[in-house]
Amino acid sequence: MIELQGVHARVGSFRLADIHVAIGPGDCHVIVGPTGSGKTFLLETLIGLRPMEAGTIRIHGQDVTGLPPNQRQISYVPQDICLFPTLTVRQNIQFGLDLRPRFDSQDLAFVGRLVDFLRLSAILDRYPRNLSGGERQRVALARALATKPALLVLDEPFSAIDHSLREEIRRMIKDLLEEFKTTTLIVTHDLDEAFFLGDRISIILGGRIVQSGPRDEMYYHPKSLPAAEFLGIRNLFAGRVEQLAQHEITISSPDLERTFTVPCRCAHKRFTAGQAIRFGIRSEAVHILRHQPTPEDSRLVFGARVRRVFVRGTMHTLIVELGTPRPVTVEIDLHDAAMRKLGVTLGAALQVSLNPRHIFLLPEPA
Amino acid sequence: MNNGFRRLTILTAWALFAFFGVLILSLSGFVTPARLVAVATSPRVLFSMKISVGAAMLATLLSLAVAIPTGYALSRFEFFGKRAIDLALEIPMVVTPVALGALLLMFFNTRLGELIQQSRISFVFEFPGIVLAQFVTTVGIATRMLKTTFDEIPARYEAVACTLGATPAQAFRLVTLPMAVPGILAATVLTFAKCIGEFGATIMLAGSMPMKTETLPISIFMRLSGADVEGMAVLILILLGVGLSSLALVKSLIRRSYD
Repeated sequence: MIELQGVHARVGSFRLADIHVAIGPGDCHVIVGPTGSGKTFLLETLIGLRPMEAGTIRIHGQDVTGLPPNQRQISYVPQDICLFPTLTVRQNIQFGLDLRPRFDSQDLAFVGRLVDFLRLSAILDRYPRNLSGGERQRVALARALATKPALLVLDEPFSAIDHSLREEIRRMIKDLLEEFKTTTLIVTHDLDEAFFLGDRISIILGGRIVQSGPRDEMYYHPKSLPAAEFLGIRNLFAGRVEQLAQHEITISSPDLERTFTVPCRCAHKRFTAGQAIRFGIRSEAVHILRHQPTPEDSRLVFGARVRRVFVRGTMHTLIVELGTPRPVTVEIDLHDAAMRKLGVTLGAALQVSLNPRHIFLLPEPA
Repeated sequence: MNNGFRRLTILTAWALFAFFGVLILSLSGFVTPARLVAVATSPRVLFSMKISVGAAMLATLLSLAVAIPTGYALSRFEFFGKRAIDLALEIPMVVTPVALGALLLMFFNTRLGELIQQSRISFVFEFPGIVLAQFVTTVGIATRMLKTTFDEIPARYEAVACTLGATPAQAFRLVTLPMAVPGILAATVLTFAKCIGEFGATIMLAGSMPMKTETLPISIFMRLSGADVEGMAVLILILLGVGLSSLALVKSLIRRSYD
């Protein structure tokens, strides 16, 4: 278990405040945040390159807070990969082992396994300047894992790689982490990468972790407005808590002019009756209905009209205006095939539904 | 790119080359092959060549030995007095070599200087004085060049090495230093070239004693003082030969280290 407890650090006027992260053995934890949110600074603090003002870092129960980077057993692959240019691929990979007074045949066998897994045997005698972006990334991963670190840390692992290679490297990293059961911490600004690789995800904004949790929970249930906005959720509306039950909450929305009930765990702990809130729903969770809803249908159904269509490859984002007295727009993500099947075109009239099960609730920011 | 502008820049480069070419060619009127051989093989000139190259090599090594750690510290760390040290590096560039030599001479007239003189190594009017004078005039430039070299190598390489188990000293020796080789070689070239042509500080501290402290530049000055223009021209050619061939050698080493 890797634990960061109450970590505070400062560089210039920027502060990391009260960082708590716990990474289970073999887990991949992703810290995602926009540029300048303190991701790399946090990694550098964890590795021991930056001093901490307060807090504790524990690796398998051992307090490593005061240890220098070479004694922490944390391997680091920086954004710009940093293969040692004067060493061959083989020397790069064995760099950590060569520093040890001795290493045995098991260590070498492990390196051999890494080399085979990452398909590096044909390039072992090459220098980094003769490698492609993907090869460099694979060598950096082999070098970092060769010492069997307690924690592997990757800083924006795809930023130095061509877009065409990213998917391949992503899958390779996922397979690698599963094969070698390496406890990993990744920082990235890319949400796709975060949700592809992370078992658990933390969102960092302005030097603070605003939310941490399992991947699916993070995806569908952001717990604060900044987190929801960072996750790219644009279907956000004003609301008010009308009634609270143990596992559900009744909301009235002046935007949608509806009152509805949403399932919510521990509703009474998070909200109070009469509280102003925001609620939201992901654009892919807004559905277009092919048939008129039945009276038993618990979904929120609205008449709507398509106002704009943005095409992104096979995906389309529709901006639809709901038929509410006050004009409200909702975004819907739809696959190309679904667009054709439903006959959706610009200006078309539709029936759209918002499933309360996919609605998440956020406290109104102070 | 605009053709006229391109031509103008290339013309400037050729004009500069022609200027130095004309200067060197002007020597031909004063040098005959027989005179060249006679002067170049004279014991006094051979001695001058020997101490010029020897002192320049020693001073270059000394400069690098100081410039590498100093340049690294200035590049990587924040510490008390960093700005003052950075400013001190400019002293050899803003103070003329003659003044630097005079400073050294005055230092050896202080109590501390006399104490040093009375110890094993004597500097004033001695060979170590030549090395010291060349060292003082070049160490600032060498440090400045090496600081720039280390600035260009991201500290992240060392961070990665440390996470793989290297101590900071091992990270420097195994990662940063090999990456700095082209910069170190470039600093070596410039330092050596400046050392071999050093005159002002050397003559002030080591004097101009034939067969003792007479380096090639001092020898040239002595020939001019004695109105031996032909001898001076031969010595200039020798100095050019020694200097340019040393530079060519080190540059080829740099090229090889890049390949």
